[in-house]
This record gives sequence, C-alpha cells and structure tokens, in this order.
Amino acid sequence: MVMSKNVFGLMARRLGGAVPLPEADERAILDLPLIIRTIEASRDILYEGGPSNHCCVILNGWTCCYQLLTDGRRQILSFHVPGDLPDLQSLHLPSPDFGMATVTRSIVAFVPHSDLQKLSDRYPAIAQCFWREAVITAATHRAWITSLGRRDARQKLAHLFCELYLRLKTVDLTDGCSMPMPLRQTDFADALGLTSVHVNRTLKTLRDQGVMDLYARRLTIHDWDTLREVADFNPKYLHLAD
Amino acid sequence: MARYFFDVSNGSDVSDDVGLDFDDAHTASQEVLRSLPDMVKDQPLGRIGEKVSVTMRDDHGIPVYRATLTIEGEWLHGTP
Repeated sequence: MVMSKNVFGLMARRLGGAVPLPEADERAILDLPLIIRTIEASRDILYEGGPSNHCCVILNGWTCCYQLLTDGRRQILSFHVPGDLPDLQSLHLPSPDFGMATVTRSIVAFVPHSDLQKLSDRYPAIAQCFWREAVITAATHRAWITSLGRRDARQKLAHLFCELYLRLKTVDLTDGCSMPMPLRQTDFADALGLTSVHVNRTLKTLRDQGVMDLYARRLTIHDWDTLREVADFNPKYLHLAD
Repeated sequence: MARYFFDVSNGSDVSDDVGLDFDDAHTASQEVLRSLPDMVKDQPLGRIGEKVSVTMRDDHGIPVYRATLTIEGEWLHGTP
C-alpha cells in the first residue's frame, strides 16, 4: 500500500502537471492494480516489436528507450527517471517500436493496459492528462531531434545535462547543483549520435572550463548559466510543474 | 576489457584522464578512426591543412596508436 501510494504520488504529480486532479480521479489512480518489479541494471524491460500489455511507471532508478540497427549500433531515444511513464503510448500502440532497458537497478510499476483504458474512459481529466503526457513526450523528442541534427558535441552534452537536471529536480533527486549521473560515456555517445572518444574529449573540455564535473557517478554543475548558454537551452518543452 | 586513454589535438591539446574501456586495442583503434570525422564536424575549418589527431595510450600511459585526419582544400584556377 505504501508503495502504491508512492506510485500514485509520482503518477499524479507527473500527470496532473500544474493542475491537481479531482479527488475521485486521484482515488481511481490509487486503486489501479500494479505489478512492482525490481530489475537489475542493463536488463531489458520491453522488446521492440514484442507484445506489451502494460504501461510502466519508473519508481526508482533510470531506464532508457532505444532502437537497434541491424549492424548492432544503438540509438538511445530517451532516458527515464523516477516518475516517468516511458511507454504510455503503448496504451494505443501495443507493439512497441522501441526497446526499453534499465540503466541502473530500477524499481518499475507495471499497470495493465485494460485498467488504464477503463480509467481513461471513466475519468475525462485523467484522459486529458494522458494526452498531455503524450504530447510532452513528443515535444521532448522534437528537442532531441534538434540537438541531434544541429548542435555540436559540447552543446548536445550541455543540453542533455540541463534537461536531466531539471527533470530530476522536479522529483527531488537533485542535491543543490549536483545530481546522480549513472550514464556512461558510451550511453552519451549512443544518445547523442557521437563516438565515445568524442564524448570523452568533450566532457574533459567542459570539466576543464569549470562548467561541470563528473565524478563517482555524480554530475555537479558549477556554472548553470554557462551550461544553459552553451546548450541554448529553453526548458519550456519539458512543461515541468513548478 | 582494457582501459585506453585518448589525447586529442585539434587546435588545442586535450589530455584524457578518464579513459574508456574496450575489448581490445584493435576495437579501440577503430573507435579512434570513427571519432576523427566526428570531431572535425564540430570544428570551424578555416585553415588549409588543418589537422585533428588522436593519440591512444594504454593503461600504463604508453602511447600505442595515433590517427590523424588532415583537411585539404585548394583553388584550382587561382584564388578568386
């Protein structure tokens, strides 16, 4: 029960955005049946083209969505942190066009599509929230496309750090100007369309310039204004609750 | 798996103190080659003969491999 309240809290905060949900809707979310699983790092959660009967909510840890090319190369499409609903779209497209894997050891709640569908049918405010969530996901993908296509390596990394910092801050997972950073250089490379050697060199440059530091799986932003300026970062696309 | 370090020279010299893990030196050298056009893409290319080079060191700090990409350009009928 404690865990499902936690799920509810995360889901409601995420879905509601700036507007709190009506009490009856909140109760309906609380009553959702959940399967909660702890999954070790670097394990698959969802397979591209595989069946999908559940949507998941990340409760703890980090996951990523990706697509694989036939030669084995991987494009990471998104990173997910606690509170995220990375495959909400599977409610309408139940055969995912991407895979999802854990980055770190994660706790993930799975909610059956059938129950989410009933929830969305009965509670228009929740249906609205699902719709909002889906379009924010699309907005985030647009921001990533612009980064991938037009930013250089330094700008791409800066943009990703700005985005992840603000997303983690919303769920109270930052500590001052520092945040957990479990991603490895190869993960950055796969997310940003760079070689790992170039990522390595660019991280070193950002560190040498005193903008940020990456040490012992924590990222500390020493100069937010410069990081944001380098990234040309405008957080509006994330539509985060204040 | 072994760790290699990658010092980059393209206008300025950036020395690597973090490194990356690769299955073997050959795989690491392939990534070095791929990184050259990747890095050149981000570089303002003003001067003819501009170079980017990556020197790979093993985990004892000994340089074992270097790859260099040189950008060439020339006017074929005199500078306009």
